[in-house]
Amino acid sequence: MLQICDLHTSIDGKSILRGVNLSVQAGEVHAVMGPNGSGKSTLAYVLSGRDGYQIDKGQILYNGNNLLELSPDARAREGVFLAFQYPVEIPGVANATFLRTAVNAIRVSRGQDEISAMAFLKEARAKLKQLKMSEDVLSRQVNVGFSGGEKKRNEVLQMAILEPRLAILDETDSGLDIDALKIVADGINRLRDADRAMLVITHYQRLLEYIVPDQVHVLANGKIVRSGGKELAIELEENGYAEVLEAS
Amino acid sequence: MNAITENSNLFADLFINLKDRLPGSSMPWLVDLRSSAMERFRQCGIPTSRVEEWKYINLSRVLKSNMLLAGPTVDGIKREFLETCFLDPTPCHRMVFVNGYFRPDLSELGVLPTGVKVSSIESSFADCPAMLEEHWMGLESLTENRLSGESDPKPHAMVALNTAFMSGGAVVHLDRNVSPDAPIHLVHVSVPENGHSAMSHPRTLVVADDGARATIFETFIGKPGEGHCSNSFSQLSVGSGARICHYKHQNEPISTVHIGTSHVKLAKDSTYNSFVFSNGGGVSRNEIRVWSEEGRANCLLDGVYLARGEQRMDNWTRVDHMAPSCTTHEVYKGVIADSARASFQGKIRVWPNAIKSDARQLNNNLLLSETSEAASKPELEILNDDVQCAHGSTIGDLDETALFYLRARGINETKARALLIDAFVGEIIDNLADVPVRKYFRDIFETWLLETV
Repeated sequence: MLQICDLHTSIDGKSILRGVNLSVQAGEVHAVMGPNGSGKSTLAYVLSGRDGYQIDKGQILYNGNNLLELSPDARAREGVFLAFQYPVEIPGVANATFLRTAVNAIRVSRGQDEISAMAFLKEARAKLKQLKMSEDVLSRQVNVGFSGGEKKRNEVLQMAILEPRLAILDETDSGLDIDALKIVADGINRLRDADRAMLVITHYQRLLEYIVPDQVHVLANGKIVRSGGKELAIELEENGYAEVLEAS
Repeated sequence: MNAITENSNLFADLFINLKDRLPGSSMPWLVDLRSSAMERFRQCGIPTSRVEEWKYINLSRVLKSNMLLAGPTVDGIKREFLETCFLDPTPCHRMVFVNGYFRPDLSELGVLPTGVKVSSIESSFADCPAMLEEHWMGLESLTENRLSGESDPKPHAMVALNTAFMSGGAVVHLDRNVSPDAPIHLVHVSVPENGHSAMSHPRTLVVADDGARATIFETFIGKPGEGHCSNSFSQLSVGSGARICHYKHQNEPISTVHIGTSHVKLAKDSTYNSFVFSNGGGVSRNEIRVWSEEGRANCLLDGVYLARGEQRMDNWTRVDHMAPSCTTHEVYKGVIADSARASFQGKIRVWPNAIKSDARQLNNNLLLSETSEAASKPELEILNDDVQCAHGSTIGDLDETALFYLRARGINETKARALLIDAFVGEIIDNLADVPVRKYFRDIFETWLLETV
C-alpha cells in the first residue's frame, strides 16, 4: 500500500530525512521509533502533505500512485489520515460541523451522497461511546479547551469516523495517562483491518504493548537504521537507542 | 481660495438655487435650520483625513465638487429588483425611497397596529412638525471637544449637509408600550443620474416612547453607474424601558460612495441593539453615535464588514455613558480580501458620574491577502474608577496550522478557508435576536464567501 523509496527531505535547507526506505502492506501495523530529532514527525508531515518540507530526492508510492503529487486534502480523500501529535484548536467551528464536513468531502469524492445530519449524529454517537467520550464533544469547538487526553481521543474519534486506509499516528500516546492510553489503544485496535495499514510513530515501547506491531523500525539521523519484529521495541526499551545507533 | 472652501462653496451655490424647492420650504423653522446647516457645512467643508474622526477615509478626495442633488428617478426600479433585499417570507412594514424620495408605489406599509406611525417626512411636516423640530433642532450644536478647548464642528459636516439638502425620508413614531408585529423595513435605493455625479440625502427619524419595542431594518442598495453618493442620516430616540433593534445592510454598488450616520439617544432602562453589515459601496463609512443619557441604558453595537476588490470601508462608533449603570457591548469584525482596506475607530467615553458602567469593545480583522489592509483604533475614555471596562483589537491572517488540519481531514482548501472565515465572523450573525434577519444576513454572508474565497 505504501512504499517510501530513498526519501530525502529538508526544511529551510536543513536536511532532515536522508534516504528513508519503508514498505507497508495493507493489514499491517508498522511502528516507527527513534530518538528526538530523528525525523519521525517530519516523516508523518511529509506523508500528509504539509507545506514547508522540501523533497530533495526519492518518492512515495501510495497504492502505486505518486503520493507527493497530491494536495493534503486530496491525500485525505484517498484515505491517508494523520493523527496529529498536537491536535489544532479551531475556535468557532463545532466538532460536529468539522467532522461532518470532512465525512462529506470524502463521501462526495467517492461518488457517494452526503450523509444527513441525523445519520451522521447516530454514527458519531456510537463511536463516541466506544471511545468513552461524552456527547458534548460534538457541540464543543474543535479541540478548544480539550485536555491533552481529550484531544488525542478526538483524533482517534476522527479516525474511526473517517475510516482511512492508511493511518499515521504521530505520538498518539504522548500526554496520556495509563487509563486513557488503554482506551485510545482499544480504539485503534478496533480499526485494525485487513484493508487498512497503520504507521505508529512513538518514542516509547509502552503504546506497543497495547497495539502490537507487525514490524518495528528505528529511525535515526533521518534514516531507518534497523527493522525487526515486535521484540525490537522491547530491546530498545531495555537498552535505549544508543546501542542501536552505535551498531548502525 | 483653497480646495475645501471651493468645494463647499459649490454646495452652497447649489443650495441657494434649490432651497425654495426643497420639501418643507413653507415652514420658517425648517428653512432656518437648513440655511444654518448649510452655513456650518460651508465653514467645515467635506471632512479630510486631517479631521481625527475621518482619518481613515479621505472624503474630500472621493467626493466630486460638482455633485448635484439626485432627483426622484422614476424609471428602472421594479419590485423584482427590491425583492432581493426582502426578509422573505417574513412580512414587513416597508417603505421604499429612491434617491431619498419616498416611493409609495413601491412601498407596502400593510396594516399598522394602533399607536404605530410610519410615514414619509413630507406627510410628517403636516402631521407632527413639532416632533421633527424637537429632534432636528438639537443637531445645530453638534461639535467635538478638542484638547485645545476648541469645539470642532468639522466631524459633523456630512450631517449638516444632509440637513441642508434632505429631500425625503421616513418618520417612525411608536406610542408608549406598543410593539409592531413585524419589522419596519426602510429600503433606500440610489440610482445614478445620467451623465453627471449626484448625491442623495436619505433621512430617518425613529421616536420610541416609553416601553415601546420595534425592529428597524434599513437597507441601502442601488444601481451601478456614474459616481453616486448617498449621505444618509438616521436619528433614533429610545424612551424609558423601550427597546429598538436596528439592523443596517450597506449593500450599495461599487460605483457608489456611502456615508451613513446614526445618532441614538437612550433614556433610562432602554435597550438599543445595533447591527451593521457592510459589503457594498466603493467607499463607505458607517458612523454610529450613542448618548446613554440616563441610567441603566443598554447598548449593543455589533458590526460585520466584508471588503474585497478595491473597496474602502470605514467604521466609526462613539458611545457616551452619561449616567450610572449603563452597559455597552461592542463587537466589530472585518474580513478584508484582495486590495481592499478597512478601518475601525471606536470610542466609549464614561463620564465622571457614570459609575457602575460596563463597557466592552472588541474589533477583530482578518486579512485574506498580502495586499489587503486594516486599521483599528479602539478607545476607552474613563473618567471615574467604579467601572468595568475592557477593549481589544486584532489584525491577523488565516491560521495556516488550522487550515492544514482541516485539509488533512479531506476538506479542500476553498472550503477550509470558508470554514475558518465563518468561524471568525459567523457567530456575530448567528447571535442576532431576530430569526428572519439572521437568516437574511447568513445567506448574504455565505454568498460573499463563495464568491470571495
